[in-house]
Amino acid sequence: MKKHRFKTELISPLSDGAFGTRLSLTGNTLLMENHRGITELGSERIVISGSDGNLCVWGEGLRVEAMTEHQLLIRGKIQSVDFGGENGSK
Amino acid sequence: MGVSDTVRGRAKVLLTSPCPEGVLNSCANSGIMIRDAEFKEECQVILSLREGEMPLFGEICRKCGAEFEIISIKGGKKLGELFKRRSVLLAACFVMLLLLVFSSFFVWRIKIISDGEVPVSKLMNALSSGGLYEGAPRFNISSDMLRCHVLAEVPEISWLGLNISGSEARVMVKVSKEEEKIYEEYKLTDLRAKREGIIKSMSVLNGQSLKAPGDAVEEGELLVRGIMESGPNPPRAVCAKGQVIAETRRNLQAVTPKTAMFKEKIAGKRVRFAIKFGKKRQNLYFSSGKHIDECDKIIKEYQLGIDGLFALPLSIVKEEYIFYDKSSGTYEGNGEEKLLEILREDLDGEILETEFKESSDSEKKTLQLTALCLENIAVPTVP
Repeated sequence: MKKHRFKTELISPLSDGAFGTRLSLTGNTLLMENHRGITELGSERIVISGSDGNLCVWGEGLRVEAMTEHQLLIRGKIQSVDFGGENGSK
Repeated sequence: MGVSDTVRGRAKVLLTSPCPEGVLNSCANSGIMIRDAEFKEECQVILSLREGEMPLFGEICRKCGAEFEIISIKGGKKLGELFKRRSVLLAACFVMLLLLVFSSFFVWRIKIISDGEVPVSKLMNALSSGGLYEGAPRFNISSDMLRCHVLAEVPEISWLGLNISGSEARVMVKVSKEEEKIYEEYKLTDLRAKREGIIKSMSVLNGQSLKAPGDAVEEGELLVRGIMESGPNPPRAVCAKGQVIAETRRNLQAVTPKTAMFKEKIAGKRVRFAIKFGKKRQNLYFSSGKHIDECDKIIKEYQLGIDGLFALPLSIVKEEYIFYDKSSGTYEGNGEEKLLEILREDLDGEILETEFKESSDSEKKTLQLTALCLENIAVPTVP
C-alpha cells in the first residue's frame, strides 16, 4: 500500500499536448509524442502513460534512447505494441 | 557521442530506486534530457545525461529518495584537463588551424593541365607577370585579365582557364594547333627535286611534267612546272601536284668514342633535408656550401596539404646523394641501329639496300651508312 501511494506521487502528471498522443513506429524505433511519463521500464516491456491511456511496448533489448518532457524514443527489437488500461493490459 | 556531447561532457549513471520510472519522469519534467536509459536489475536503471545537468539530477534523486552512482564521465571538463596536461599539443593544433586559415587566402600551389606539350617555364613566367605566382593573394587574381596577358605572351596557347580552389590554382590550357595549308588550285607552284636520283616513276596530277622515268635529276632541278599550256589560250598558272619516285643514295655518318667513362654505384647514400616556407628555404644541415663530388643528386619536394583541397606554404625538401665511382670502358652503343632509325625518320619511301663501313683511329670510331632508297623526291616550291 505504501509503495503504491509512493509510486503514484512520483508519477507526476505531465500537461496535455494540444494534439494528443502521437506514435511513430519505424523499424526498431518507436517515437511517442505528448506522453505522460513512463509507468514501467524493463528490457522486455515498457509501459508509457498517454492522454488516451497506457501504451505497452513488448520486445527484446528495449531501452529508452532519449526522453524529454514531451517526447520519448524507444529502441530495441519491438515485437508488439498494445493500447491498454491502467497497467498496460488489455 | 556527437561533437556537442564531447564538448559538454556526458555522464553515465547507475540509478537505484524503488521506482526508477518516477525519477526518469521527474527528470524529463525538469528539462533534463535522459539518454540510453535501460533496465539493469530490479530497481536499477543505467542512463546517461549531460555532465552539466548532474547537480539538478542529484537534487531530484535526493527528493525522490533514490541513489545514483557515476559509472563514467566522458568529454567536458575531462577533455579540458586532458588538454591542460598537453598544452603543447593544443598549441600546435591551434597554430595549424591558424596556418590553414591564413594559407587559404593565398595561392600556394599552381597546377597546369594541358591537352598537349606546353612551354612550361615560359607559361609560368607569363603567369607570374600576370599576377599568378606562389604566394599571390587569391582574391586579387582576375581570370579574364590573366587570360589576355598570357595569351599575348605565349602564342603556343590558344585558350586558358583558371580555377582557384582553396590555396590551389588550376590552370587549364589548350595548345594552338598548326593551321592546315589550304590548297590553292590557281596559285603558281612548281615541283622540284629535293635530292639527286634516278626517276623510277612519275604521277603528275596537275602541272606540266618536264622529266620522264629513267631521267637522272640533280638536287633543286625542276620536275613539274606550274604552268599549263591550253591551246590558243594564254598559258595558265596552276599549283603543280604529283609524286616523283626516284632511286636515291643516302649517306649518313656517326662518330663514337672508343672508350667512355661509366658510373658504378657504390654502397651507401646520403640524405639531407630542408624546410621551405613560401620561397624561403632553411637547410636542416650544416656545411651547405661544401660541394659533394662524384654523386647523383636527386631533389624531391613534398608540399604539405591535401590534393584538390588546400595547400600549405610549407614544403619538405629531400636531397638524396647516390655516390658512384668512375671507370673507363669500351663504348658499346649500337651505331648501326641508330643510323637506320635516323634514316627511316627522314625518308618518304623505303630502304632497298644498306652498307656499313667502319673506320677507327686511336680515339674514335667512325661508322658510315650508305643506303639505296626509293623515295618521293618532289617538293612544292613557289617560284
